[in-house]
Amino acid sequence: MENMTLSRQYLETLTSADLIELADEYGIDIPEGLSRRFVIGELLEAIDEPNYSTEDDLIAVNGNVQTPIVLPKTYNETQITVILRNPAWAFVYWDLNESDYRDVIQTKSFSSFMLRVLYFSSLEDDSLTEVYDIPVRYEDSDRYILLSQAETAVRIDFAAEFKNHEPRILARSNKILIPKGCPELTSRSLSEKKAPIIELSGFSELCRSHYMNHRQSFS
Amino acid sequence: MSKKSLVIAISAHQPYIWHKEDDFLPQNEMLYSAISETYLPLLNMFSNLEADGIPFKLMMCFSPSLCALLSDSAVQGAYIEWLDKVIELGEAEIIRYAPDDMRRALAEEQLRQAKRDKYDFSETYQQDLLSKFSYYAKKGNIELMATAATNCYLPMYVDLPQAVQAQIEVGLMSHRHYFDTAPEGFWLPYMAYTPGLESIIRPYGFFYTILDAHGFLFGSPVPMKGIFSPARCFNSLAVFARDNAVAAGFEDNPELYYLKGEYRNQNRDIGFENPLEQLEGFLNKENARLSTGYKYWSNETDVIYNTAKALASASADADTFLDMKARKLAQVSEQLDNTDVSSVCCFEASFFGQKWYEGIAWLESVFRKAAERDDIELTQCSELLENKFSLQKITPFNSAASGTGYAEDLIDHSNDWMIRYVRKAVERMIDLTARFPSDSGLKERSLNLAAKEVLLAQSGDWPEMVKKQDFDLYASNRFRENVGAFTTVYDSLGSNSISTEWLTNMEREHKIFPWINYRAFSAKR
Repeated sequence: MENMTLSRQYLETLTSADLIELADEYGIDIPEGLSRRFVIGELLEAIDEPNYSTEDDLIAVNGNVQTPIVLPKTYNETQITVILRNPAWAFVYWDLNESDYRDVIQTKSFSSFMLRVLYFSSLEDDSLTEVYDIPVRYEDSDRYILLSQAETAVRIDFAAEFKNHEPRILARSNKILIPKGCPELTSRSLSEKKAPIIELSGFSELCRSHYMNHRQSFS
Repeated sequence: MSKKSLVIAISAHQPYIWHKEDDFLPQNEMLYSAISETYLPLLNMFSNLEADGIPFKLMMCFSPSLCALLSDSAVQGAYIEWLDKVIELGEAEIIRYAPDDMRRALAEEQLRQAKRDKYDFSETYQQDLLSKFSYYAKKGNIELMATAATNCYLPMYVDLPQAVQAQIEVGLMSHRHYFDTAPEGFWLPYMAYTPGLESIIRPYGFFYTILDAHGFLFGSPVPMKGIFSPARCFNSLAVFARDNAVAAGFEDNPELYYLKGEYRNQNRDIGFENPLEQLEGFLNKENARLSTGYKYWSNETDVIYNTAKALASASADADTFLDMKARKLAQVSEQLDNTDVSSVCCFEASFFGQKWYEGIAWLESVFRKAAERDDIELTQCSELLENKFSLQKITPFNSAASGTGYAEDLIDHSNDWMIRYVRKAVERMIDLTARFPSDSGLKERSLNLAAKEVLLAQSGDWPEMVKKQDFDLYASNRFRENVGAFTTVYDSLGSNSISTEWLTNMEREHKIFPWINYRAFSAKR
């Protein structure tokens, strides 16, 4: 089996016993009760490191491999959007119109593109409470941003930076509220006594699992 | 004496996946096993309870994609053909295991079940499972909830309210189409909530929804009765909290529940173990193995399954579950000066039968035993809302019953590339609806197809499958296909011409929502 290309297609033809043996060879621990699809997924992940073929041509495969519909790389619009992944992390994506791009890079003092993260005291109020910049490359088009839990609302601008003058804002995102209400997740707050009915509701377990999953974010 | 109510809520969903070509057998099998292992057994269980005069009450939500698949005559015919192949395989298994009494007996039992499935599906239910579920809803046994059109993670579109409205409106139309009732409850896909959603849900006539417990307990103010009583949002949409202890009990300690030694091992199917030459009809062109329904092993390593032992265990586990819930609710009621309390236990339909083979027997035992007890009462959400205007007002916290409590499974490095395309398609659809508010003829047909494709592209099933590497390439292609079809209509409207052949083919291929009205995406003002 060692010289066989371990594609999903091939793995799906193997018996479960062969899959588990293969997982053993790759040092993957498969707990009892895991589904076959999960085992295949784990194996594919383990062999996912690039292992490019030195052959001249690709190997033809039969069967129903659909030609993927090619989606455009850009919609040729200058736009930036923010959506929440969870209360601590936002996903930001942007697009840049060809003529805006040309305008920017033809300006001699152009140095780089950046994201400007702006915090506000409320959705309605435009007075800033905090602002900082994150440099991005031209080829970047999305990014995850850790939100400050001390702040209330956030907007992210896509901008071009220049050596001798102020940055030019190319696009402004929607302003979004940073969710409030999540209890403080510290070892001290976790050990604090809560009302019996809240304890019976499973509050401590919830806080503990939140602490385990999000302690680096919600602090 | 205070009332201690237990609500069992089952969400039944299937991604919109079915193809007439055999190449897609592994994908189609997901639906066939759901029918054989979950939906037919559920109906048979209801029928047993009805015949024995056992009162039973539960909540169910059927996603529009599942309804579209179950009501499609091509799918119904293909399912019967699938059962024929299962029966043929079972007959070969009996011959193969002639010298092995235990395995032959199991093969015979499972073959009898396949034959019964065929009879029940074709004769008893006349291929129309939804009508039978609807029958139990009309009798009051099932309280049906509506849900969004395509299992869409709604908080992702809260800044595009028309997109959320369209998901809710088409979901509601679908519910009326299949069940002919006005639902009081709205099931949030992934239980995903963000403040503001209530303002879009309530105007469609819904009175309540169910949230994950952390949305409730991290809300403001913290609900005084914890998760044991509904509360309401500021526009009076009532919210129930899912009792996470139930899910945690099953998921954190599966070896005490569905992975218990005596239960059937759902992963050891002969389709994954027998030599390929014994599996004719159950392989696609690439010889990908798939589940056949013949499973002979228990969860205990290399121990043959024993049906009687497993069913006895399911019955005992039902007692344990009810004892645990009754004890907890009594304790809670005492803390709250003997007021009425409730616990809402939510399950995915696939948990019963597909994930836990004996789960249906367990559920039947829960209904039978609960009917004999007076310390706990099975009920439905609407019955707990008699005094809905006296419920405590809260603002729930952002929450979901997926990922690690939010959108982590749907916005991830593996699938975040999808977001810009689906949101662009949504923005364009909203724009098209404003631009063509009252068009008819070919333009209306094209816009209806565009709306359908956008809704399908919004389904959380595609990013979830990509993230979980579960038919991930297939899911990516389906997503591209939906966005691509929408873009074709968008461009056609720009150039003022469309291929009617392409349009007709797409309408035939994606039969879901044949009654769709693209104006669901219009601004409601």
